[in-house]
This record gives sequence, structure tokens and C-alpha cells, in this order.
Amino acid sequence: MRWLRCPYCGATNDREDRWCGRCGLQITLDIKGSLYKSFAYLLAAVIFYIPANVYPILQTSKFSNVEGSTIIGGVVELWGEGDYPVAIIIFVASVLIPFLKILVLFYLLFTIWRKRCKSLQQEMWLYHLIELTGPWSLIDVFVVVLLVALIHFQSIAIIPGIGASSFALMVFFTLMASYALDERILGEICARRDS
Amino acid sequence: MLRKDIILCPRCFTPHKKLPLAPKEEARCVRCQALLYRYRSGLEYLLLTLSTLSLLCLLIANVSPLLRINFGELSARTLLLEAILSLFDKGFVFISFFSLLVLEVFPWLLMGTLSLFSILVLLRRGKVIAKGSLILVEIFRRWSMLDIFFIAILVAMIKVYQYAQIHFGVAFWALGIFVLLEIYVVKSIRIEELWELWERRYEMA
Repeated sequence: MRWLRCPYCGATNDREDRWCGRCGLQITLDIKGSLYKSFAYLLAAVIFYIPANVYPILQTSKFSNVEGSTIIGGVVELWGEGDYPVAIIIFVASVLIPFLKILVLFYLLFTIWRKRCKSLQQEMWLYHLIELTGPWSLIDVFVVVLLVALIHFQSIAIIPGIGASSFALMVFFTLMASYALDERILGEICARRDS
Repeated sequence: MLRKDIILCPRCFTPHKKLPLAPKEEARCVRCQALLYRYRSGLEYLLLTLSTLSLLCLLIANVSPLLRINFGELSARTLLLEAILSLFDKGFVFISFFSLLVLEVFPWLLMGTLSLFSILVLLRRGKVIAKGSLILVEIFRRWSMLDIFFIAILVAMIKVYQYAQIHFGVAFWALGIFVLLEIYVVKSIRIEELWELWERRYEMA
């Protein structure tokens, strides 16, 4: 393609340009840099995904008796109590979205690495989907923040678990991985295939 | 070289020739139907109104109580900032610091920067500062997450409603209005539109 879209302001520049003529930021297409950075963030996210699901995300202390609850445990508990809509929200936001996001990011990185593009529309749809849904995994972290702040009595208190930090770090790294991945590379690879 | 006569589709990168539009008209990609650009008059006034209103809501959301819950005789209430900082004391520094950034720092900076941009654009002064503020807006809008926090409040309250009485404070409603305004500002007004506004206003000056 003869032109390059600025990822910051959307202006169209000549392909040879290093800096955007409108916002003045760097617009060069760094395929390797974007791929490596995104992969490194994704790997960090995968590492934190394990303790995030194994360790309790929050603990309930009732008369010095402490009970921990993992994300999946919380979903099962909510389902058992009949809070189906909340159980579904937590399951989708905290279990399904992070897992699918990691899978989709691996798929997109593989697509770029092997230069295999099935369809630009499909790849871009996946990219925008993870960008849009990614931050919503933080719901559970914010629930913990709120419950810890509100419920801290002598007889009963909510204490954050190790899983909460791991989960927040996992979401943070998946966000960084999707932001580090330059969507223009997908356009570039698919355009090469089309031509 | 900057090509003002050509626009690339943000979704499929198909090049299009840029044509002048009449008010309320919009141009869409021939390939994927994504919105390319549109003509919206009075955008600077709309932006100033919405961002100022958002700042006001954010101020109310920070100074008044967010929630109060009663567990029989026991009662507790929290402010937004108190809730965020409560995890610092428990040793959960990352969550607390991250929450402070995405729930306090970035929302304030986003709306503050947008207000500054709209004032500068209206006055046709400070071209470089207005440009810098737009670059910052692109960063802040990604990391402002009060909309997610608002849903998290509802989820948390559903979790405890069986055991406690819940009273929503003024801050909760202010936060709700802020979230609606932020969604409109961030999702409906695209960053490209703001850059075009910047170009238009300073070229005319």
C-alpha cells in the first residue's frame, strides 16, 4: 500500500514518512517490535493466569474463621444461591473473556508471525473484540476493592486474596499485549495476501 | 507527506478519496461500511459542555459518600477514593495503585484535557497545547475505567443484598451520570473528529 494510517490521529501519510504530518508522532510500521512486545506481555499474562485461578481472589473472615474463594468457586457459589445473572456476568467477565482473549491474541500473533491471513475482516473483528471486551475482566477486581472497603467489621471482614493481585496483573498484561499489537500489521499482511 | 485528500478505512485500510460533506452527512467505507468521517457542526461547544459536566459529576462523586451498608447494628460507608486506597493498608499495592490510576487519575485527566482542548479550540489559541492535549486524550481514554467500576458496584451489591441493607449515596448517582457522559464522549466522538476540528479551527485562524 502506498499510504500509512497514523495510529494516533488517523491521518493518511506517505508510506516512506517516519513521522505523522499532523500529530508529529512516529508512524513507522515496526512488525518485529510489535510482535515481540505483544508476545512478551502475553507470556506474562499467561504466567499470572495460573495463580489468578488457583489462589483465592477474596477471603471472608467470620469470627477469626477465614474462608477463601477462588473465581470459579465464587461463580459456583453464586449459581448455587440462585443469583444466575451475576454468576453469568462474573463467569463471562472473569473466566471466559480472559481465556478467550489470550487465545485470540496467540492466534493473531501466530497469523502475523507466519504471515497467514484468512480474512482481514475476520482478523480485525477479533482484534477490536478483544480491545473492547478486555478491560471488562476487571469487574471482579473492582468488586473486591469495594467489598474490602465496605466490609471490615470486627466480627466479619472481607480480605483480598493473592489471586486478586495475580488476576489484576493478568488483565493488565493482556491489555498491554493488545495495545502493543499494531493493528495496521494485520492490514499489511492481509493486503500482501490479497495482492 | 500528509495526504489530506485521502482517508484510509480504520477497519480494513481501504483508501478513499476525501470529499466535502454537508452538515449531518457521513462517509462510510465501500468495503466494510465502517464510519470514515462525518460533518458535525458545533462539536467544540458540545465537547466543552459534556466535559465540564463530567468534571462536575466526578467532583460530586469524589466528595460525597458512594455507598452505605447496614449489617444489623453494624454500619459502614465509603467514599470513592477511600475504597480505592483501602487496599494500600492491606498490602495490595498493585491493585490499589492500578485502581487509583484507572478510576481517579485518568478519568480526571481525560475530562480535564478535553475541557482544555475545547476551550483552546474555541478561542483559537494555543495550537501546540491543543495538539498535545489531543495526543494525551488518546492515551487517557483507553485507561479510564469508571464505567467498569460502576457495573462492579452493582455486582458487589447483588452479592451482599441478602445480608445487608444498602443505601446508594449521591456519589453513586453522580458516577452513573459521569459514566453515561463519558460513554457518549469517548464512543460517539471519535478522536479523528477532534483532530479534524483542530485542523479546521487553526487553519481558519
